[in-house]
Amino acid sequence: MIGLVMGLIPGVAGITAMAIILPLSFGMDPAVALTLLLAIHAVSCTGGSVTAIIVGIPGSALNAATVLDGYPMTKKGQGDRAVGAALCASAVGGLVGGVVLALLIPAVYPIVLAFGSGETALVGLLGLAFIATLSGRSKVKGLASGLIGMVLSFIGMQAVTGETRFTFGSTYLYDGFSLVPVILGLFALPEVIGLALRRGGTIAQVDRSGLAQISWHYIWEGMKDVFHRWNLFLRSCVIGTVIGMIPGVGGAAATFFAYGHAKQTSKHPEMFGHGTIEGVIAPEAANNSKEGGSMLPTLAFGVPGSAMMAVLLGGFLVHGIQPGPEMLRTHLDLTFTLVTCLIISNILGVVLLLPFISQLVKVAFIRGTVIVPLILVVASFGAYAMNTEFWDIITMFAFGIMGYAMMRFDYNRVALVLGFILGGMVEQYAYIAFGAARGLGFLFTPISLVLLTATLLVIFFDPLKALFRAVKKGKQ
Amino acid sequence: MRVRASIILPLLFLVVTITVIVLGFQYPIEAAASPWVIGGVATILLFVQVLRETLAKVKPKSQEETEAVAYSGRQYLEAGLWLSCLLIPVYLVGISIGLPLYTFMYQKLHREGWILSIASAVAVFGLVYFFFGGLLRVYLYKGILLG
Repeated sequence: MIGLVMGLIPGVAGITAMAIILPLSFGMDPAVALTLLLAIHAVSCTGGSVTAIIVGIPGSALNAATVLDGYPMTKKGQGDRAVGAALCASAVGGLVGGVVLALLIPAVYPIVLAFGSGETALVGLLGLAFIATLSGRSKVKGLASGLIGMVLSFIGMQAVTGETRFTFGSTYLYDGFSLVPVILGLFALPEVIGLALRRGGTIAQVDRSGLAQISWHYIWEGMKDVFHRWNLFLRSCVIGTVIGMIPGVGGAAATFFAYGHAKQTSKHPEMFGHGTIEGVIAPEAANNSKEGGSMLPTLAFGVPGSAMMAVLLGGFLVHGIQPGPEMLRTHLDLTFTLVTCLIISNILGVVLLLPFISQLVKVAFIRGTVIVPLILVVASFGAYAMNTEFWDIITMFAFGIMGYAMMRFDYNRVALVLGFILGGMVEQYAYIAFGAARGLGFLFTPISLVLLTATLLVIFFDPLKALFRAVKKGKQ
Repeated sequence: MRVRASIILPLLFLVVTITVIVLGFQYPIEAAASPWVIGGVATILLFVQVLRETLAKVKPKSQEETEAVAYSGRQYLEAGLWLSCLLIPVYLVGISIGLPLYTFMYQKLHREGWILSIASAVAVFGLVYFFFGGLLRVYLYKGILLG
């Protein structure tokens, strides 16, 4: 329910909800806490689709493609049908993604077990390279953000040698920056700053006429539309799941890709953008099915497939669980609990949302001046709660300013968080591998060579492509 | 020459990475190796970015960028001050009083009604004091005046 409501608020979205709830889950059993976070994550984009269709403002970038045809449908008086189709595509899409994930885990299990310390360190670097270069417009900015995150993770006591680094004598920095204030600062605070800057008026600054259109009969008709177009639905699910597996490509890319595919393969592409049901089904199916895909690299390799997965990864670490080969070895039960949770949340999210759609959409019309202090207060308490340390609130504010500046100048916040999370891990595994191989020998195992080549290819893909083109032109 | 706002962030990052490299000389090689390698690569990339920002011609702004810079410096300052003001009551009177007080002040001074402002403050107090402090037994910072 938290995920649904936060997902409904344009500009706040699921990642903020997860960042705020993360510190509040400390006292819980790890399985319960991670289930809570995953459930919020799974349903937030479902909530966002309703505001995208009814008021024309997506809850987050993930629902942006749904606006293209969902809102025109509302304008034509078919908002309820579009909502029905979106919710059904989301629920069944999430189910498909979850099932694919459950089937793939046993397949990747032997591969993951073949990984030693050196390979695990290199997987971390590969994941960072993916996130840094594929999400965002500038590769240099993306890579620099990821490396800055790694540099910040070096502050405090080094796990392998016990040396305290870059603390400037401050006892607060002995354990380094806590993950929770960093995540809250980078993801929750910039949204609060954005809302505070807008000051007056409601969050969704549009008319409420779409709210009057909710009819059960047409919602049901919309749901049936998904099954009438099962072919498009399944193809969109495949697109979502596959794109979700590639770290850094992002959910928004999956939804637009599915939307573009639906338009290309439609018998009436001219209808797209003017309110066609296929334009709602395709992005929503891809949107929720991609979660199953993006969980695979997170669980199996400890490399998150998306921004929200990066926060979820933070949740794992806060609760003392290290995703990756170790998790599949020792917490396979938890892994499958989370897969089941992903499937159930997607379905339950829709069941919970249906009776309250018209009421819940009103959340988008809360005044900014009401919601800003409430989010800020909860985020501040969240930053404080883990270590009961006043300085953590200040850290959150510092990272909040940095996060807003990064958002404003198009730096990659996800890469920074990922670098911060993976920095210590990569250093530790590299150190162990270096010691075991008595040198850089760990870089020359077959798996390491594949991973290194892949990392270099990801980073230098554009210059290499340009070089090949130039050579080809030269030959002609 | 006017300094472009977009150059400030990479410059700050550059200061961080150079500091890390320089301070790395204080530590044994095991502790300094990673900061040198990672900080070194980051420094090169940030230097490239600073050069790019310095040499780039001023492009016409996209709609998104225009919206983003539509706020004046005064608006940024005002919003920033309002948000950072949260630290003052928390520092002085602690978490359980400071957070509700801030909620009330923010809403009331932004012309929200008395009932809503008081209800929000009471809700925040209930959440912090009874739920987290009482039920979950989280230690609540008492502030320098009440601690």
